[in-house]
Amino acid sequence: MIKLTDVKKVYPGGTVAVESISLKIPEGTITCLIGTSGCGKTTTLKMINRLVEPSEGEILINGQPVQQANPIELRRSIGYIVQRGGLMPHMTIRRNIALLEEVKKTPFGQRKARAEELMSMVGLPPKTYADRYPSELSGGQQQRVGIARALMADPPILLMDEPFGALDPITRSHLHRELLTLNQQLKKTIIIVTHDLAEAFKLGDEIVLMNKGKIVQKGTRNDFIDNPVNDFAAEFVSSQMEGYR
Amino acid sequence: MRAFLIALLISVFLSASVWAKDPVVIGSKNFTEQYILGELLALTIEKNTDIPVQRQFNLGGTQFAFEAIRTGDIDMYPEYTGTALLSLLKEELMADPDRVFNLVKNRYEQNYDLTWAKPFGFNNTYVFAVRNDDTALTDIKTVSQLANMPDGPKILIAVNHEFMDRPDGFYYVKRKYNLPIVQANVVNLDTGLMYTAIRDQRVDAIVAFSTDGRIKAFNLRTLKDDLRVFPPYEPAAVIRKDTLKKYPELVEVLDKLSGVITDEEMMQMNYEVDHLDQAPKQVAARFLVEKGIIPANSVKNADVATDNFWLYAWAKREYLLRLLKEHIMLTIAALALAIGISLPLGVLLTRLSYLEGPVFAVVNLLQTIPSLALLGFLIPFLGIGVKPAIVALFLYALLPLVRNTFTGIKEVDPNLKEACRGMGLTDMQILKKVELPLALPTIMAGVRTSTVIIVGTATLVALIGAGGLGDPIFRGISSVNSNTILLGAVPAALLAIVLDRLLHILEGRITPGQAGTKVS
Repeated sequence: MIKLTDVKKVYPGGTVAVESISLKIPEGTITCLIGTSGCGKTTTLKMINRLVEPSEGEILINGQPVQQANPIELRRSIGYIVQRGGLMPHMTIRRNIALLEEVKKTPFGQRKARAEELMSMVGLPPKTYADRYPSELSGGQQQRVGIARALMADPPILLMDEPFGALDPITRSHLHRELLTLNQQLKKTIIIVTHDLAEAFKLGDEIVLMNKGKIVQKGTRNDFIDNPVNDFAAEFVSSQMEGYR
Repeated sequence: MRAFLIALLISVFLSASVWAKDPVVIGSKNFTEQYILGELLALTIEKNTDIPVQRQFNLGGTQFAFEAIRTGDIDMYPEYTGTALLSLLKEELMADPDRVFNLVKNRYEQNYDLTWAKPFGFNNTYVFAVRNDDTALTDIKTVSQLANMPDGPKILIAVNHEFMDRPDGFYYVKRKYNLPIVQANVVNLDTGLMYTAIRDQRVDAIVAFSTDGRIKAFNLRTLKDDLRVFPPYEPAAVIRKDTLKKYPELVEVLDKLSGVITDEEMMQMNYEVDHLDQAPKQVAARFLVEKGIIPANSVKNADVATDNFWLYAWAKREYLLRLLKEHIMLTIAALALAIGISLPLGVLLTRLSYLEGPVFAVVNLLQTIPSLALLGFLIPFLGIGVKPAIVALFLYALLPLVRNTFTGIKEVDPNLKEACRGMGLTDMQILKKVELPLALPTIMAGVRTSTVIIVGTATLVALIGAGGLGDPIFRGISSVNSNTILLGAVPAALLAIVLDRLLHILEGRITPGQAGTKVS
């Protein structure tokens, strides 16, 4: 369980990125943070693994405040997935996936086996892909590698920052389905930042709509469609659904 | 750790130039007569004592030689009394040779802990020279006659740049002799070109050096300085007093050279080196044997005289190999030092952005200092030889290395760095695994630029006695011998090209697969 209480982030210079957020994320669920650009959803995500330090408030993971954890240890216990995969262009796919184990000096045979196991899991046969470089892979394949990399140390939590943002709709839809199937076995606690409501509806057990550093509404797909809490929520839902009619 | 090993290697390399047993180091400036005088001193000491002798010839000028002897990098070198009087002591002009000698000797002993041996005997002063076959000037034997001839104002005269500026130079002489020559008839030329100009009848008279071999080679006649206007330039060995204290037998040995060389003999020796392509050492040895100062057959003959550059280079291959080795060692030492400092510095600048402005200001400034000025500036602190040379080359190599390291790392995609941070990599791990490898092509481009700069600039450090391929270049320039110039210039250019190519290949090897898309 991840719990955020009255979390606030003010950048030096006075820009308020997150006004006040309180949120509970139960274990094994998928939560989608959604909102327009600059609403504070990415900042909120990055405060969980301390890529951004909160100015006020408290974040607990299983009851432990993240502020008191060693940031390196903390991040290693949380999978982190970014747009376009964030793969190192000078490393093979296998090495990209095993990078964290490489710096932890895990024996080569062990990390190679684990990396190849994960490659099979995300649908990239290691025989074909392990020794290739990221530039030789399609965008969807690169993102699969990004997910495999995040799963390398088998962390209980995955943070995904616009993970499917740069992909074409067909590939995106494939990956959505695969992620859901995968998580039925893995039961990770996943937080996804997205600006795509359809994606959030498809993936999220809970959807959190943010605006100007605050939570506007949280709930399920039906809550948003049937009971938008205010004009902003109603507007956001209708404008995003238009494209799908 | 690696940086430490490099530093260790460099210090071992530097200390290798420091001798365990104290030799007498003999210096010379970088022109033919100085090489011959230097060899005369070196051979005389070698063959008459058991004192080890080290040659440190080819120092880039009067100021360099003077600094070198004051700091103790050399123990003695041949200097001219007039040069010491006017250029170093800044005294008034004087014509009497003995008065000049006594004055400079006293001043050196009082002010610098240096002293003068007795002069070699000849006087290499300025002298008017005309062509022997110039019928218009057949009867002119003295400068006064030149000044008083009816055609005087029409005479075209060439002088070198230094003579125009010296206190005892052209205007002084013109005034003393009341020379009728107008400004429009005076041509300012490089010393070598001045001799060529009179040989080819472009000018009627020049102000030459009285022992220059070209006076003989080009069939010139010198005019007597009948009013004794030119100050004496009598060469003698300048020696450190503490060297004489350590080796008192040197006094007697050097006395053997007192007054043994006439103007004619010196001119002959200069001629043999400059125009018969004989080695200064061989010419000096032959002279000393003739005079009975060293025993016959004590110096082996090995000499080359050929017009074909490749035959010449082949004949000089041992010398060339030694120079090439020196040049490569200088390059490697300076480059290793520069990389060892630039890489951490460049990385540091990406982390502490407030240092960026000041550090680049300094490194940029260093690049703008003219190389000769920088070498001259380093001598008082580091002396002459390999040490200041490596420091100077190191300073020139800094800019491309620091700049490319900094830029290369700055240009790494910030999203990649954030992905790594989010994954739980430390700053150091990100630097090692991601930033440095991705910056490598840019850094290697900096290494290649620096290498080419160092190889080129290293030809200049011959001027402060650090050897390398610049040695024959400067010898060749001073003796107007293009084969000797090429002996240094061709290998230096080839070395730069070869090293650049090798580094390019190395770059391809250490940049992994994705490098199909290379940073250009």
